[in-house]
Formats: sequence, structure tokens, C-alpha cells
Amino acid sequence: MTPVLEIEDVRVRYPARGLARWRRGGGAEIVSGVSLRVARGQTLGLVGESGSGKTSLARAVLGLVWISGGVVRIDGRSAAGPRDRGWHFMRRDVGMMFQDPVASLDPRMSILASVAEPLAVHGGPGALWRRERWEVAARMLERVGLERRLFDRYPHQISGGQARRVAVARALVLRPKLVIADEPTAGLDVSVQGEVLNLLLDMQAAFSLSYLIITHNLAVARHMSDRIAVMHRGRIVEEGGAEDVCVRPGHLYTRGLVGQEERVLF
Amino acid sequence: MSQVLLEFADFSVSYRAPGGMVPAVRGVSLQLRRGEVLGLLGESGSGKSTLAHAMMALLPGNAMTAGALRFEGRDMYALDEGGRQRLRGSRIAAVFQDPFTALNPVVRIGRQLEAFQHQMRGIGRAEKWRRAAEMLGRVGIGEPARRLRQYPFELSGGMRQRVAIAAALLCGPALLVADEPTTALDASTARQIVALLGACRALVDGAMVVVTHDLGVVARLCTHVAVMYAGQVMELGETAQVMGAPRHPYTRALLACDLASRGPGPGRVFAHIAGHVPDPRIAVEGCVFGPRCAARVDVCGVVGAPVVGHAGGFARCHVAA
Repeated sequence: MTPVLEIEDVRVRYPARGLARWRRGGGAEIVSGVSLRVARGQTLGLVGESGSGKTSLARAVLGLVWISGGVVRIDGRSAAGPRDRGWHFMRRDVGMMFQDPVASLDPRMSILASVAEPLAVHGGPGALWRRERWEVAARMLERVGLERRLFDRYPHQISGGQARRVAVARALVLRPKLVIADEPTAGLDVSVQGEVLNLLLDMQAAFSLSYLIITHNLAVARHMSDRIAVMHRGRIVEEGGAEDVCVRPGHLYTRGLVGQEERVLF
Repeated sequence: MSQVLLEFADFSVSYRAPGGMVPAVRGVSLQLRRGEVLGLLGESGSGKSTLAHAMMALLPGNAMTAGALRFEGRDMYALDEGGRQRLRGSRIAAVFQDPFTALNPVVRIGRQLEAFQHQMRGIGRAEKWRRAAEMLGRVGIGEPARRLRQYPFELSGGMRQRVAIAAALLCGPALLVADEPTTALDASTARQIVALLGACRALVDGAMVVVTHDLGVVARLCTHVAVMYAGQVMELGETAQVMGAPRHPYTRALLACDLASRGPGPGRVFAHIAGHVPDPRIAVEGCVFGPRCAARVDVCGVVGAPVVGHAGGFARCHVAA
């Protein structure tokens, strides 16, 4: 069976500023030849510290940044260049939860309108009417447990935990096969983190989703994932079963990461 | 002998807002002695930052205080603004959450570290630069002389936080308040900054207060911890006791939410605390944590929770173990 996501030797290079941009090999390679696959219904946790290239890799999967080398395949389909219309169809199968849920929503659109928007963008020939789109969006918002009275609010009027629920609803409204969650618990109080993770697990079971969870929190990756890939300086330095990586880390860098997570609890 | 450095006596802070007064801190009483490191732990909206700003004398103009906040025996809010300002930057120093905005982006680091010492009388500019370079070395920044000539944007986040800590220490404070010092940093940098703050205990002739929502920071750094919720201290005690044998149901619930303390068990359901922090404008009948509490009994919804003391601390709860 084709994996939902297959990344082969993907490279992302950001151009240098000014004249150096035109020099051969200028700029910085943030992702240097990463190969990964996410099997159907499985969760891959991608861990690493800031600057390791995790987010750039996620953006590369969606074609949001220029890929200077390699191939991204979503459900077996790939696109050739940044202008390839293929990206549009690939993105339909991928839901994205961005790092900052409030910033990722349009401040001038109500919650309900924001969740309905992907249905208009990706409607295709069988496009729904506006009223139907809003009904589908409302059902999804209810499904993720957001109270109805919040539907007409704007992003700045809801709490961090509620904003995550909206981000989940927006990511799921097209019924994608893969959801990329970039730091799903960052900036949340510990008392709310569990709620969001439970919601993700619940949705995975309900819609048979595959997840790519990007996090610098090894504990989150360990408890959410089937497999974990550790990223360091643009490369995958270790990949394996979640427990194996956490209990018996092979790479020196992973050992450091695992050591960090040890808490002195009395 | 341990002396009391900072004392809150039934201290409250409310903000004047268009709809009336909004209480942020309600009746906090606690003492901080020399040599102690107090962790203020709580969710957003618990009042921990307001309390920290109160001890740094940085409350905004619409804040009203009640009760007393005594620093070295003097009530800070009985002083005039000038008196409080003299404490700030000499006896009390602060490290803030965001090392990107704590420093002036268009002034070289050396100039800024010199300016931080403006309350130091009788030492010249060259001496202030020498002290600045020495302090940068002590907080683990290599080539301090070169760094002094650089601008903040030339440094990484962790380096900037080190500079901010150096700036705070240059004043020779008796009280160092760190407001969410690791929140804006990634895991490995945060770990280094926690280690550095731990080492700072030797450099601060006094006490430290660390505001955080991170249980790991409390466990690694603090001797005592005050768990805050809805403006009240719910539990206070030595870190080992509070984290090892918590008495308050809220503390227990918070600890249960900590993923890092979870075993590898197959159960894939995550602990969380249902509901949310109450709106401070609406008075809660009975215990403030009552509506979200797993251990609630009938009396919790009627009578405010009593303070149950024990050796070295207390819990504000009807059913505290």
C-alpha cells in the first residue's frame, strides 16, 4: 500500500540576501536531504530543537517553500515545480495546523468563516453553496467540541485552547488523509495540553487519519507517535519506533535530547 | 539564621477596567527568606505575573493594591513612586520572558550594560565596562570584550537571555525576579538558562523568585513553590513536598498533566483539567477551584476554602490531605 506521505531526499535552501543571492551555492541549506514516510493511519513524530529544520520540512511537504531537491509524494502523487497545479490537489489531502493558531487565522474572519474557507478554495466541480459550506464547517466545529456561541467570534476573542480546536476543525474540514500538526501544544498551559492531544487522538480514530506531529517536546512525541524521527541541523539523525528511540536512543544527539527530558521528581 | 527579605501580608491587586474593578491577586500572604528560590507556578490568568510585577514595582497605572508588600521591612506600596524606583535596579532586578525585547535593538550591548549600572555612584565609565565584561564572562559568554561592541541582533536568543541575566546581576540586587525566563527559548537553551539561574543563587546575596508554568523549571531550580490559581495561592511549601506529596487537588491535577512524568503505559488518554480558569470579574461562590475539582464535596461550593497549615507550608482546601 502506498504510504500517505513519502519524502525522498528533500532539500530546502533559503536564498542569501542581496547580491550573494546570485552566487552559486549561496544561502543556507535548512533541510539537507531528508527521506521519510508516513504509513496510512500511523503517526510520525518529528522532534528536534528550534532551527533544526522541522518547520521548513513541513512547509516543503505543502509546497509552501521552494524545494531545491528531492520529491514529496502525497498518496502517491507528486508535483514538479513550485508553479505546478499538482500542489493544489495534493494540498487537498493534507490538513495543516500551524504553530500559532491565532496568527494562522484571518483576524477579520469569524471562526465559522475561517473553517468554511478551505471548502470554497478546494471545492472543485462539485462545489458547495455558501450555506452548505457553512453547515459543513459548523458540524466540524461541533465535532471538535467548540461551543456554538463561539462560532461568530473572531480569533482574538477566544482562548488558546479554543484556538487549537478551531485549527483542528480547519485542518479536518476537507477530510484530509494526512494532518501535519506543527507544535500542537506550544504555548498551552499543561492543564490544557492533554485536552488537545486527546482531541487529536479522537479525530485520528474517527477519520482514520495519519499524522505528522512536529514538536520539540519529546514527551508529546513519545505518547502520540508510532514512530519518531529526530532532526538535527537539517538531517534525520535517527528514526525508529517511538519507545525504542526514547528508551534506547542510538544517536549521540538523541541521547542528549532524551537526557533533557528526565525530570528530577522526588 | 534566615531573615525575611520579602513579605506579602494579605496582599491584593485589582485593575481598574471599564466594567469595574478586576481582581488579579487576592489576599496573598507569604514570606521569602534570604537564600530561598521561590517558584510561582500557575496557569495563564492565575495572577502569577501580576504578583511578580508587584514585587518589581512595575504594576501599570490602573492597578490598585491592598494589604502590604514588605521588602526589607518597608512596605513598598507605602513609598512614593520615586522611592519604589530607587529600589528597582539597585535592590530589585528583573529578567523577563522575552530576551528579544528586553534589550534596546539600536544600542550596543556595552552601552546598555553600562546604563544598567546608573545607580552605582562613584565608579567611572571604564570601571562599569570592566564590570560588564567580567559579568558577561561569569554568565558564560565567551569573548566578552568583543560582545560588548555588538548589537543585540547579533546574538542568539539564549545569548541575549544571558546578557539580560548579566544586566540584572550587575546591579547587585537582593531580590532577582525572573518572569517566565525560559518560555521563549527552545528546550536545550532553556535547560542551560535554568542551570545558569541556579548558579546565580551564589551571586545574588538575597533571594530569587521564578515565575513559570513549567513544572520542570520548578523542580530543578526552586527551593519553595507557591501554586497559584485565580489570584490565590492554593498551595505553598518546599518543592520536594509540593511536587512529591502534593496536598491540594489542584497541584495533584497539574502534576498529573505533566507528560514528562508519564510512564510509557499503553493507555493513550491524556490527563487534563476540564473547564477553564474563572472570569475574574465574576465572583465564585465557595472555593475558586471548586467547579473544576475532582475531589470536591458539597461544602466546596458554599464556603471559601480554608487555609490548612502544616510545617513549612499550607494548602487552601476543604479536603486537603
